[in-house]
Amino acid sequence: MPFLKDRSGRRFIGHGVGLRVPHFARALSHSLDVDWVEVVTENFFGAGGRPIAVLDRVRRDLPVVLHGVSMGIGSPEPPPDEYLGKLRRLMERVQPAWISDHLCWNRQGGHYAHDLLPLPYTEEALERVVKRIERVQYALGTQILLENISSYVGYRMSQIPEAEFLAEIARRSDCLILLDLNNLIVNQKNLGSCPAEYLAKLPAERVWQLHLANHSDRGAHKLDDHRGPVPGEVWLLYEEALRRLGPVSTLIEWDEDIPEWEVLRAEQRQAARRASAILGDGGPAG
Amino acid sequence: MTESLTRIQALFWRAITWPTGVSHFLEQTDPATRCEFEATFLGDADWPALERLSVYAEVYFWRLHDALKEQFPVVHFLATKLPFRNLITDYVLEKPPKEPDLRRIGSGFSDYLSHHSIILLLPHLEELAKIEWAICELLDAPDVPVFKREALEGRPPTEWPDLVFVPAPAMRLCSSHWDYAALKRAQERAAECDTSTVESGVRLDDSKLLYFLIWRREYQIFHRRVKPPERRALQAMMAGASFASLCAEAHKADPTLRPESVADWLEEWIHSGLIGGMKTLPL
Repeated sequence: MPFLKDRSGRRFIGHGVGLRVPHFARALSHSLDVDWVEVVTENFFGAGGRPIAVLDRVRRDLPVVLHGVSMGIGSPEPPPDEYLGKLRRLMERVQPAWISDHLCWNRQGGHYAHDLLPLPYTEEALERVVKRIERVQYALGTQILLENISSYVGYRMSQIPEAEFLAEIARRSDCLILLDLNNLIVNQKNLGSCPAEYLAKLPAERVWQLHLANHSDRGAHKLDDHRGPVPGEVWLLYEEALRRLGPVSTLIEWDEDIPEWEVLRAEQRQAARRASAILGDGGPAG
Repeated sequence: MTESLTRIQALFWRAITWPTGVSHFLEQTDPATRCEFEATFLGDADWPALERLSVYAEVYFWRLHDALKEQFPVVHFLATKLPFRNLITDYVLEKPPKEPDLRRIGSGFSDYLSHHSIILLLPHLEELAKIEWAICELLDAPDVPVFKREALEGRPPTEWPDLVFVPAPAMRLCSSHWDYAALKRAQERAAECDTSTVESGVRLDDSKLLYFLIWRREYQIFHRRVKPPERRALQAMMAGASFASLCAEAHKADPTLRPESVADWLEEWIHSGLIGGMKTLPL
């Protein structure tokens, strides 16, 4: 079911940060001096109070992206209608630049893992995910972005390389891609995958957003905990991604030991500077 | 026949939600399931599949544990570290998360506690959980326009008995056999406190019950203890009673109550944002 609303090309909104609770007070009292912010969708499903006030306030000044963690698109059961209803109402209120969620599953028998669980990359999973995305996009009336996740385990029955799996989902369902570069680095260690090959297999025009973050090295594996500044290997991959993809809206994620706003903003500025160095200053305005 | 994807997801789920971990799951399950596990998940000598799945099991438990610890700081403080962890294991096993928003994980905790054996050690602990859950719910309760004192000005005295004050959505009245306010102060300076000393000082006789008013003004949560006359008046307001009934209820609790007291409370309620609106009793 083709759903691409704007075939003129990908939208570029600059360089943003993930807005989390420690910076809510600032968001209410100041203009946030970044290009845009991303918020965790489900944290704003409540009816009122500070979360909604923050969202309303920020939205007056900046583009906002709604980034979900609970859609669980590949779960045994489809995303519940109630969930999609809440998402739709929030979307109508916020008018986000776009909405995104993850290529994963997270629900079993009506219960949530509150984690992003990996799918096997099989034709069966591909068909399921494509059908679900089509349903979600129809219910929301817009395309969604789907993000690659970090994984700690693979499946023996996987038949399709992950990048091809994601690209094929995007092609068949006409969805877009949020590419998390930190997750590629994490999976390189955990699953032996190659970030450069991954990048090469994605349809550039469908990659509308990048995530940059840090992880922890646990010896035998890397843990995707978004703790600390973006590490050098992720910055290098970011530059490689920009060379291949061109200008893509980019977001700094920092979810553990969240620092002062100035530290977060410095990371955002660094992303913008590196993009400018690769793409020149004549790229799309933020 | 169940499709293979759904079958392996069920296996994944059972392994990571097993209460004592993936390793015990494999020990305690049947040989066919162990074979299926081997045939499903990839691992290597450096990092076997069992350990890989254990990452998900750890994240599943600790994310829920940490969310509940944040939502129920006083319960956590009283239950102390190890029993709280066991309590959460039991809770998550019996009441796995049913809502997409992690912040809703504590919605059934108070009811659950009322049937848990921890109540033998800490009687009425569920009442504290109910107070703490009320605080969580108030954080994003619906907003209503601020009710202003001016709306009452110019009302002739004859209309006052029939006025009905509508409580704002961001308020709750909770009861407890514990002095929640004292306990909250102790929890906030937890490093200096011995839990056992605190417990004896703030738990009341079974015959005594305290009432706490909890509310949100703008984005901040407040709580205070309320005495019986004000509690009766608040309960009447929350039940939709008229101003005359509020006064009568307060008077029942304290026949010596000054007539101005209810008006003083009303002033305070308006100032605190407890009033969401006003109407007049239908004739």
